[in-house]
Amino acid sequence: MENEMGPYAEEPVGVTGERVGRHGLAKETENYGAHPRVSPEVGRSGPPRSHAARAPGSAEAGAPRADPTPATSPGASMEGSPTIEERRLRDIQEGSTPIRCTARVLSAELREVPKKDGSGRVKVLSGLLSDGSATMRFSWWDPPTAAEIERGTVLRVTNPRVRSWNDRRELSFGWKTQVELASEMELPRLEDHEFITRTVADLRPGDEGLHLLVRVLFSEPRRLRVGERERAIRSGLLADTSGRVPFTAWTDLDLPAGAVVELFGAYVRSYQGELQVSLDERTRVERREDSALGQVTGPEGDLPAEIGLLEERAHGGRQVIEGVVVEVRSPSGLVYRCPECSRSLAKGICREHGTVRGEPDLRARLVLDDGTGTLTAQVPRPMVEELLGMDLGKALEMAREKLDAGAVQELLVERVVGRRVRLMGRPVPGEWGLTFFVDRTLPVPAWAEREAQRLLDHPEAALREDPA
Amino acid sequence: MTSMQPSSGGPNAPAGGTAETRPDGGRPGDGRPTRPREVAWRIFAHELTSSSLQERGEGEKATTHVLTPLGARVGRLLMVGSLGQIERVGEGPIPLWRSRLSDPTGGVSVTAGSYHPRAAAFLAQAKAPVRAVVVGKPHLFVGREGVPVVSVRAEVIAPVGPLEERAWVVETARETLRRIALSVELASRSSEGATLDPARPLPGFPRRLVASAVAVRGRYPAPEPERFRAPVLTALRAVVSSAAS
Repeated sequence: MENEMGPYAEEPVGVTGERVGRHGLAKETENYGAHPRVSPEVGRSGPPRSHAARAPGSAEAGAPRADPTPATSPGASMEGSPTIEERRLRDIQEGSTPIRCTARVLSAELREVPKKDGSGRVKVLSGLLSDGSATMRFSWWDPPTAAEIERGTVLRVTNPRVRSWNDRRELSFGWKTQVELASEMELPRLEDHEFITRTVADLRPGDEGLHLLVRVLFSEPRRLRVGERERAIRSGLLADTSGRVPFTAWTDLDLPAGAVVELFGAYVRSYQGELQVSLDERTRVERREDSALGQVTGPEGDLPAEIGLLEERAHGGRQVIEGVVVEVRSPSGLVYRCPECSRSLAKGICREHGTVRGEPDLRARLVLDDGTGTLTAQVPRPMVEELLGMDLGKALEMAREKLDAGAVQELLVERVVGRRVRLMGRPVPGEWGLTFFVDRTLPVPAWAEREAQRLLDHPEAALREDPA
Repeated sequence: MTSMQPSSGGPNAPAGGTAETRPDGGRPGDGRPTRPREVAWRIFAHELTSSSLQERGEGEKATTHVLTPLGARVGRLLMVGSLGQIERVGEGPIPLWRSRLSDPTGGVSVTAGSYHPRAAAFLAQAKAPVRAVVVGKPHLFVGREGVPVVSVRAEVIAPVGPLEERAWVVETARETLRRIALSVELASRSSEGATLDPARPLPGFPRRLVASAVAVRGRYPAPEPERFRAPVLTALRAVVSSAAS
């Protein structure tokens, strides 16, 4: 059931490299002792001429001359230089003193580019590095072919050049740069005060080394297949008073629904335009008292987003809504989908691919109304099976017995119309109002008593809280 | 305005729809409405039955709106309560069923006919009293002695449990308190001579609500919004004490 993974479980594949990275890393760590280090020489065997010409004094301009060696001495060694500073990627400035950093390769791609003087081509390995404080692009000119550099490999880099490209800093490894393989243990540790404190509304893609104080609104362990192996991960929804954001923990962290937690070392990734918080085994989770977080309440009493508000403003990201199903819109229930494009067929015909042999599926288009607005919830098969109390096989059997595919929609109407449901998903505005792509159904909590008391105590609580 | 009792052919000539029209104005089976769907207002019987104005839409698929003293322009509503004695009315071959829905603030007449066979079947089979949710369209009739009477034509009737009923009471209370606050706000603005642009957002109030209240404003000579507050607070207290017991 691939659907069950939800869109964000797929995120790391080719996006962060984290998942694959960790996989590769295990191997890397096993081999660590035996693996021959990349010798300083490999990194400088063939400097591109343009690089060699510019190297001295350009990157280090204005900084103390830690390397007095002229560019014409390729054998010069950086080792023992007293002014080399260990830096986190976050702290690296253009033109700073010679530095050393340790970071993990998130992605790497080998290309060949023509030399500037036209005298042939040079190999460049470029990609992304992360050390938990920031992610940075790197380009490794003429990298060693013997060393296996892949996602997850941890590198210790001494004296890279720091350049700026489109206002973003990036690292360039040239002939003066020494690159060694390192272990995950050598990655820099951030002290508590070094994490950047953010609210959910302020998260930006690429943020790293974050400190968040949030409530876990929803949390579910999942299994993810990685090649031969299965990983235990966890995903769900986090919230503070500023907003909500989905999360994926690439290891099964202690994040039960309802808990208020402080997270040290969270990072932000964007998947299909949607932000999500990523956590891994380096993330520290500390439980806090309920009162530590303003008025965001747990899933037990969490007030859902008003549909009217979602209609008025385009809201990205995940939302929880609650309302009464007032209509089941056709086509719902048992549908047949085009094997090519998954569109539902009308009378066996796909509007893109003509007459095809349809594959049976269950879907529901529910009109949900919460008194402030309405939307059409698109419910995929696993949740329809839940609402129907029967799986696809049973539904097919029922349709065959009654000689009517519409019987399943009838049953759905019977089961859900007039019912109050709570759904988590993504609202998308359209010509005919909001469509809500449902990730999952949630139990409807008993929030009425507490909200009644709140309205009695604070009459102004009836007014809508319009987010800034 | 029509008479309170639909004629024997009543179900064949309802305001606001033809046999080919779904409640939301779309054609059957097309899967999409032909215009934005009317939201189902959460409204207590007290506010609804205090209404004496209605707006007839123009055209074939026009919706009738009941205007309430709190500025709600109601084309569809959702109520929860106890359905009392159910009777079959009308003499035609197609039965029309009627009951009375009671909520913590009052009661309103509910009918269901052949246009919504599921709702009709529910009333035909239910044993009163039964707790139910009713989604439907309100209509205003001038009853005997010229007194306006509101009735609801049900599109959906389904049974509910206590948890859903309490949730409805609280969300309806919240919506009613909002309408009271908005009526007070608009009254104070108009006494100051300030005009309100319905296109501009009013903090704390949904745009749909502001548009409705602005449209209804001035139609009731003395809306007295504060008189609607006490029944709402009583309903909220009942929810709190039901949890305590």
